[in-house]
Amino acid sequence: MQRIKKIFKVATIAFFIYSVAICFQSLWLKPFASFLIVQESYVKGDLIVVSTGSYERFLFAAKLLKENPNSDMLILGDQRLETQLPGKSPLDIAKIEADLLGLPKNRFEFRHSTSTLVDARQAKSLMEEKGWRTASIVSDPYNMRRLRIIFNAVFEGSNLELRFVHGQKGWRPDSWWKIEEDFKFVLKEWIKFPIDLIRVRLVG
Amino acid sequence: MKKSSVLIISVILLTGGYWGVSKVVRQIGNYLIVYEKFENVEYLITNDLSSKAIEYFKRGKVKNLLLTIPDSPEDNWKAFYGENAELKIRNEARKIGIPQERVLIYKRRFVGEVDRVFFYKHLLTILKAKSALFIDPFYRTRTRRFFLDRYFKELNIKTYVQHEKKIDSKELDRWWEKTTYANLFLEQYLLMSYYYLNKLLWTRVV
Repeated sequence: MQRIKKIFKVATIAFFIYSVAICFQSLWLKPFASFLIVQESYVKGDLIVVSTGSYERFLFAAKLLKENPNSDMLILGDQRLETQLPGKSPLDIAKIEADLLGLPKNRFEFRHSTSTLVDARQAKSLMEEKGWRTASIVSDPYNMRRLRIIFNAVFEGSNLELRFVHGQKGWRPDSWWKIEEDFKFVLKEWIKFPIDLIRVRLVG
Repeated sequence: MKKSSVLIISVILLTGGYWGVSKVVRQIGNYLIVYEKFENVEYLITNDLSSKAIEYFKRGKVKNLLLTIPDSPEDNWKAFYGENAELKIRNEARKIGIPQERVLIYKRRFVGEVDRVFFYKHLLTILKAKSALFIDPFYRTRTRRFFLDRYFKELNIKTYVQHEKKIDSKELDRWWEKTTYANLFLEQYLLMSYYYLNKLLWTRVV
């Protein structure tokens, strides 16, 4: 009898917690997405850095380039992958796209990269090579927090100035768990976030 | 126990552990790949006029090709779809000798996999289809099967899922070390968990 009472008590408490979690889901789930978003003011600089991860971020970076005739653009992508266009990697697609968007050919650098960490290393090496001082790092909203941590770790002690910007309004941090694309993005970032944090803190 | 014995046992355990974990993780990747054999289907559903779609059509294994393309090319890589994707597909079909009435093209912007499956469900019901083959990238085939099993079950439509290209098994070796594959595979598991989480939270998926 005592045992049944105990089980009933535990079940009641669990049910109560579950009900509260469901009723107030917006309250505790929303911060998971809001935390990931970082937006700094865009300042015209020497370089715009973007990877081929999404079309929205590529398009936003292209828009910034058009607005700023003194900037160059670094486009990063994985050359090992094949897209739906046979024999073309995401980086090749970005090259075609830059042409189709009418962006000036002489202001691009395309480099192979497999991760955000490699993106940061490639950007740093290019800036040092060209003697550039300032760069705007463009990505999708939920990617910004992790991106900033990695880039800041790689650029630490370099005196190069970085700005982190996103220009997309289509994301819904207030209901991310109900929208497939947002859900996928937010959780992926939370899985990668601690791994990358340890990687940049310990390995460098 | 002697120090040397402890060392040997540790090495064996570590090697075995690493081998075991690698095998399990490899299986996690393999689980995502679905390839279902079929005899004949009425509709082949895909995003582009791929070589497999053409081959099945020519061999008479599929009656109609059903393609979905983005309704707003400005939101997508122009390199993929161009300014007029429909015209491009129709011209290609004409060149290959596929009758135009057998190529059904639908323009739509999908907000996700659930939206996509609901659209196909609605469309195949209107078309009074009895069978359909879905061709997707290999890493997305399990997710397609997962959502078809859940949202098509009350329909009398036999569905099959296949991937477009042959998979190079070497390519999948140590997939977790290749960032792009790791991302794509992780996304598929997240999509399936999206379904369960929203059930748990009693929320209506968008």
